[in-house]
This record gives sequence, C-alpha cells and structure tokens, in this order.
Amino acid sequence: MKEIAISTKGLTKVYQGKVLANDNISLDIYQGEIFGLLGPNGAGKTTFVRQILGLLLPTSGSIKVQGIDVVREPEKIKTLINYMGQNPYALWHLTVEEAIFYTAYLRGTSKESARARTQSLLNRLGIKEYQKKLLGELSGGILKLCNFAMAMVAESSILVLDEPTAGLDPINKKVVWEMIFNLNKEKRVTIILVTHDVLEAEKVLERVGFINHSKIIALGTPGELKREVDDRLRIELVLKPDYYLSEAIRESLEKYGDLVEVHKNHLIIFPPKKEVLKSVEGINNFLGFGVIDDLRLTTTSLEDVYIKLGGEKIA
Amino acid sequence: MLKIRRLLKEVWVLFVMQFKTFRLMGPMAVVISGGLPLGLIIFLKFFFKQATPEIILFIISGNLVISLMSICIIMLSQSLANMKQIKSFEYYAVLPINKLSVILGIVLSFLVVSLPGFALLLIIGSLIFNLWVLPHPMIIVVALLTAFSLTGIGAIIGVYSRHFMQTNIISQIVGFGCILVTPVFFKLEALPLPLRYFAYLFPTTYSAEAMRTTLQGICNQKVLIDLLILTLFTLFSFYLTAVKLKWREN
Repeated sequence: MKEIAISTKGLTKVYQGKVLANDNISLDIYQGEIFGLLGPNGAGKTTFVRQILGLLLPTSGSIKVQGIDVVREPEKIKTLINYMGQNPYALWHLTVEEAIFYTAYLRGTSKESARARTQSLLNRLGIKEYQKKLLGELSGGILKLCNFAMAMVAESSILVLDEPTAGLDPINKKVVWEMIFNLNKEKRVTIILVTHDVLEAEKVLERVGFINHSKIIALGTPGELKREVDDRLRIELVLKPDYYLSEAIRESLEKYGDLVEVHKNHLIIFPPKKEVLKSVEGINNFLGFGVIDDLRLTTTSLEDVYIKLGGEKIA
Repeated sequence: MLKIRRLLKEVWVLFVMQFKTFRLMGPMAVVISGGLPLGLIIFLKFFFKQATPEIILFIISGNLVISLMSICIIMLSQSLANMKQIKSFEYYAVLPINKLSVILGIVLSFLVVSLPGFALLLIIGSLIFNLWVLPHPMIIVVALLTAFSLTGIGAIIGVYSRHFMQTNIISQIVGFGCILVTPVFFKLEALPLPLRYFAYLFPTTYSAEAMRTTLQGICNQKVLIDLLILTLFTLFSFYLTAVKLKWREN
C-alpha cells in the first residue's frame, strides 16, 4: 500500500462568498511521486496549491500533509515543503548568490552547506556568471532559473513547483526537467508540478490531476488519461511548405485512415489499429520522401488531453 | 534556549536581507529617514523663536519619538502591505521561520538606516535651538523598546489591511493618533483628566518621558520604571506578532 504524502477531502474554497475556486476536491498524492496539476487559466490550480501550503484557509474540507492537519496547524508543514512560486519579487534587491544562499540558510541548512549547495546549483543551472547580479536586473529566463534554485537548494520531503519552466529556452527546460526527475529518483521527494508545459512535463509526470471550473475532472496516469481521450495511434505528417496538397491527393491519403488537417500541409491520419505499419509504408510510397518534411507515429499527447479537457477542440 | 538562539539567528539573517534593500536607494535612504523630523524641527523653530530649554527638549525628544513611530507603525505596515500586494509576502510565509523574525528584521533595518537621521536630528536640533545635549547611553534602550513596543500595531495594520491605500490611511491615523493623544510634545498635565488616563494605555507616553530624561544625560528611577512598562508593551507586541498574527489569508 502506497504511503500518502498529501491528502485532501472535500476541499472547497469560495472567495468572498461568491467565487467558487475549488469545489469539493478529494485526492491523494503519494509519497515519492511526481504529480502534475494541469488546467486552464483560472481553473483553481493556484488556489489548491496555496491551501496545501497553508497560505490560504479553505472554506471547508480537510488537508493533510504527511499526517499533519494543515487547516489546524499550517505552521508545522513549513519544514516539510519547499515551494517555487511564480515570482521572486521578495528578493528583488539581493544578488542571485545571496537569494539562493539566504533561502537555504533560512530553511535550516548550515552556513557551509548552504554556500556549497548554492555554488553547486549555480553551476548546474549555468547561471554562475550572474551570481553577483541583482535579481531585479535579470532577464525573465535567468530569474526563473534563480527562483528554481531557491526552491531546490534546501532539502525537503515535498516540493511544489508552480510553472518551473515558463519562459525558459529548450536547453534550460531540459536541464530543469532532468533535475526534477533526478531529485525524485535519488531522494524520493514528492513533487507537485503546476504547469502548462505539458509536452515537456509528460516525460516526468507519473500521475496527473486535471482541474477545470474548480473541480478535478480527470485523475490518473498520463497513459490512462490519454486512453480516455483517444487511444488511437496517429500518423503525424508534415509536408514541405511549397507542396500543393490537392483535393485528389487528400482523398488518396484518406484511404489510409481518418484524416484531419491541422494546419496547411500538416495532417494527422488515424489508421485502423491493425494496419498502422502498412499505412505508414503506404503513405511514404505514395508521397515519397521528397515531399515529406516530417513523419511521426504517435499516440495522443498530454497536450491533446489538456486541450480536450480544457474545452477546446484539437482539430 | 535553542528556540531563542534560532530566533536570533533568523532575525539577524532577515535584518541583513532587508538592510540590503537600501543598497538600491543609496544615500537617499538617509535623507528620507531624517527628512520628516528635520523638517519639523526647522518649521517649529519659526514658531518657537524664544523657546526655553524645556520646550526645545520636548521638540527634539518628540521628533525622535515621531521618527520611531513612523518606522514601526507607518513604514512597517506599508512595507508588509506592499509585500502582500506584489505577492512577495508568500516567500516569507512559506519559510519555516517565526513571523516575529520577519517583522523584527524589517524594523531593525529601518532603524539602522535611520541612525544617521537621528544623529542629524540631535545635532541640527541642538544647533538650531542652541542647546547642546549629551544623551545618556540608556537612550538606545529607550529607542529600541519604543520601536519594539509599536511593531505589533504596525504588523497588524500591514497584514490585515485589504490593500495598500487602506494601509496608508490607517497607519497614518493610528500613528499620528498615538502622538496626538499622548504627551509627546507637551506635558501630561496639559491633557484633560480623562485623556490623561487614556494616555497611559499608549507606549509613546512612557517613551517620550524616558526620551526627554535620557536626552539630558540622566537615567533615574522614573526612567527605569518607564523602561519596565515599555518592556511589558514590547512583550505584548511580540506576543501579538508571533502568536496571534495570522499570515494565512482567509
């Protein structure tokens, strides 16, 4: 039986008696898992997270973090949870090195250890050259990395990350996801990720909770959610930009499966289950590599799940 | 003992962090901290051209008390309200630190930056009114206890105000209200009898009295009694901040 790190029962939050932000949310997050909290803007993700952190009093319901009742004793969980919020404005006037160091020190790390961990994180995140710069002088991406470092610098059993990769370039995103993954694997830290970067997050997420209109509307592993939305394999086909996709060609491609045109010259074909490889070969032979810019065989992505559950059509 | 050591360590670290805010302001921080009381002294010079030493003492000590009140009620509450407004408050709220440490860190940083302002106030006040004062070292204790006894009020206003404008208004009303109803610029006997009893409920009554005496280089039994009462106010202020103040939003 898996140990539960965080458990909410009937968690409800109503702002000023009018705005329902979280509606009767009951879910368990297990020890050592990487849990993704997805949902469109305004769905209630941040409200949910803030209640778990003890920053916001629920209207009703209960929250337990490692057995501690957060509603009654919010101060007790602060040694258990490290948090990366969306902005580090509190430390605008500090240098990168100071911000990370002091955060570690205030979280109970010894001075020497805090210094060593600060330098290690600066190197791993590739921001050592910025260590003497004030946070207020940094670009958005470097500031985000600094914010991430502040959340990672001290040890804890639970880590809550709110949009850890928003505004980062692909290389830095990869670094951040790898660090999150490694932290979880090496130290079995329970990680809650609030993110819109679902394509990247999919690589690390073990379970996902999808919030929309203040409720949890889907909960499961990425595979389970994808199968619920659409369990078909698809051939994603991108043709060269100057290729003219005539109606006749389109009709011929429809022989290989249901065709959906996503953008100009960007098609998705859903072949019958037992004829997937035959369809791939057939399409390739029909069009030829000279016409094809990109061809992939994929399943539904978590992004497709996100879009579907968020209320928009995929194509 | 361990808890006190930890608290002191937190206060020190948070003081250093807050103090570094002033690196962005540079010398302007000193100008701002000394500006109001200096301005008031120069203004009062025009109204008290033939002031007696006693009146001068009330003016200088009164301005010192106003400066401390400004720091611990107005500036502290506005600082906290600003932190809430720009959502930087939650950085501190999620850390496993005592709320009192954050408040004291902010207040101490303001006090240290204000030190040159206080010194200027004493020097220029003495120059303008031609009355040289040599304060008793106990004045430092008076100043610190005055500040700490008022931090609870500033913290409550800052944390519980709904928005920055509300903080601004309430802190000014409460802060200057404290000054007006207490014998900071005048003798206690000048107040109507009912208000005299009311004045005893405010720490500024005791701090003004102690400030006037220690400014003259004296530390007598009356000063020690005032300090004891200020200590009680301080303990109450700390209790309000550390135990009763709730940072969790409702």
